[in-house]
Amino acid sequence: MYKIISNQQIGNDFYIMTIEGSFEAKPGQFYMLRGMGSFMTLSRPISVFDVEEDKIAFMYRVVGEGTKYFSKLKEGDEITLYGPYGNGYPVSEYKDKKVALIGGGMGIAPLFYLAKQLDNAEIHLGLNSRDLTAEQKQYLGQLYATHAPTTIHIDTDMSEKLDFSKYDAVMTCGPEIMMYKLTKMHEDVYVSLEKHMGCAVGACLSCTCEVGGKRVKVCKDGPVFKGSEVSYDDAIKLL
Amino acid sequence: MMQSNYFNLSFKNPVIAASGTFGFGQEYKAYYNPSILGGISAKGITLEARRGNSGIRITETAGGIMNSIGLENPGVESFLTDELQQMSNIDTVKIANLGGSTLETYIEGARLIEEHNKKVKANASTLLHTVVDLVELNISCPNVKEGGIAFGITCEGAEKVVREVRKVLSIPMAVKLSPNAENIVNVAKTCEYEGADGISLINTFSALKIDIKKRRAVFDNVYAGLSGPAIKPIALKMVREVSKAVKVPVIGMGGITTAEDAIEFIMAGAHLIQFGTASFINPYAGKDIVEGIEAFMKEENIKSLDEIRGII
Repeated sequence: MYKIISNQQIGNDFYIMTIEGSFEAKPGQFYMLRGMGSFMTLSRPISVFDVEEDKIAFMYRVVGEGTKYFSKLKEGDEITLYGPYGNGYPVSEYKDKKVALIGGGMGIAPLFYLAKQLDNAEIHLGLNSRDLTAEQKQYLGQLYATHAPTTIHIDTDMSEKLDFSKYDAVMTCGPEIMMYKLTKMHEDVYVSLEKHMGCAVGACLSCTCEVGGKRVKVCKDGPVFKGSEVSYDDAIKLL
Repeated sequence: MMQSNYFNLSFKNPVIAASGTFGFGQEYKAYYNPSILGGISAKGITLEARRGNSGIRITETAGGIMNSIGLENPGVESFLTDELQQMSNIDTVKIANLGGSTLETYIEGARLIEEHNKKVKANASTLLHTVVDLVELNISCPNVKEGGIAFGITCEGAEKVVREVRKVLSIPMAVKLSPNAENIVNVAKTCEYEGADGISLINTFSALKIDIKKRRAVFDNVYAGLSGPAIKPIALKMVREVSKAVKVPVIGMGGITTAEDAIEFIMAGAHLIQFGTASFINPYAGKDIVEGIEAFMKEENIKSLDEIRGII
C-alpha cells in the first residue's frame, strides 16, 4: 500500500495522481493500480506519467468504475500498485535525436516522462475540445513545455498536419487508428498499444495480438512496438 | 504437514495454480518461487496451435471477471518440447490441461502426451527431460465454438471422450468439469466410471455482458467465462456434491482467493484445490494461500488435512 500525495483534476475526466514512495521505471512502462481490497477483481494498467526521487505520478482518465474510484481518492488515502511492467520506449537510442512525441487523448500520459528523458523532443498533444477548458489547456501546455516545446492540437488529425520529414523518429500513444495513420507517415514510429489486461505478467493471454507476424503479449513484450510491425486489426476495422 | 499423495504423485501441499491463469509456470516468478506450489496446471493446450478469440478478452464484473481468451496456445507438440521443458527447474507436479474440438483431436493430443512421456522415460532424447505428471482433460472451456464444452454438458459426451482418451493414456488423468453441465454429479460419476483418476471442478460459467451504449455484447463471441469470488459459493456447493458422489480424488476450484476459501473447499470434500483469478487480484495469491493453510493448521492444531476433509 502506498500513500497518495495528491489527486488533481486537470481536464474533463483527466486526473494526475501522485503517490509517495521510491520507484524506478522507464518511460512507456506501466503499473497495475488497484483499490477496494479484493472487491476490484482486476487491477488497472496505468502508464507512468512521471517519476521523481520520492514519488511517482500517473495520469488517468475516468472511463469506468475502476478509474471513477481512483478519481475519488484523496491526499492521505492508500492505493495498491504493482510494477513496473512492460518494455517502455527506446530512450537511449534516441537520446539526442529529433523525436516527435505524439499523444492522442489519454495517450498523452506517457509522453511527459518520455520528454523528460530525451534531449531533443517535440511534443504534440491531440485532444478533443470537450476534454479541456481554455484554462486547463493552458495549464497542460505549460506543464509539458517544462520538458520540450509543446503544441496542443484540438480536434485535429495530426497525421495530416505535421511535417514528419524533420524528425528522426516518432513515438506515439493514443487511439489505434491514430497510431495506424502515423505509422504511414514516417518509417521510424514507435507505438504504445493499449489492451484490456488481466495479469500484466504474460500469464493470462488477455492482451495478445499480432506484431511482426508473431503472437505477442502487450503487457510483457510491449506495450511499445515498432509501428511498422503492428497489424492494427482493430483500427483497420474502423476505416 | 500438508504433503499428500494422489494419482501416485506426491503433492507438497494441496495448492495448484489453475490453468489459463498461471501461464507456463514462469510468469509469476518475480513474486514468488513457483516450486512452493503443490502443482501447476499449465495454460490449456489443443492438438493444433490456436490464436484465440478476437476483440476484448477480459472484463471485470461485480466480484469477478469474464474472459474469452479462446484457448490461445502453441499446440500440444510445441508445449511438450518447449514450454514443458522450461518448467524442468520448477519442483512441483506438472499438469497438462488438454482441450479439443473433436473426439479425434482429444485422442491425438493425449496420444502425443503419452508418447512424449515414454520417450523421456526411455532417455530417447537428450533435449527432453520433463514429463507431464498429470493430464487435466478439459471438457469445459466455454469460449471455443464447437469446443470441448460440448463433451462436458451431457453424460453421453463425457462418456465418449473419457473412454476413448483413457484407451491411449496411461498417465494419471483428472477430468475438468463445467458448471454448465446438465447434471454435474452425473457427469462426474460417468467420468469416474470411464476411468478418470480424478475430477477437477469447476471451470468458468458461461455468461454474458452487454455494452448498452454500443448495443452489442462486450465479447465478440457473445458469451464468455465468469470466474472469481462471485462464483465461489456455487462452486463450493458443486464440489461438495461431487465429492460425496465419487471415490476418486476431487480437485476443487472456483473463486478461491484466500487460504480461508481453500479450507472451505477442503471441508466440502476437495483433496486438492486450485486458485486462478486470485492471481490477478493479488499476484502473491499462491504463496499467501499455501502459507495461510499452514498457519490455519497450526492455529487449529490440525495434523493432517484429512481431519477436516469433507466434514460438511
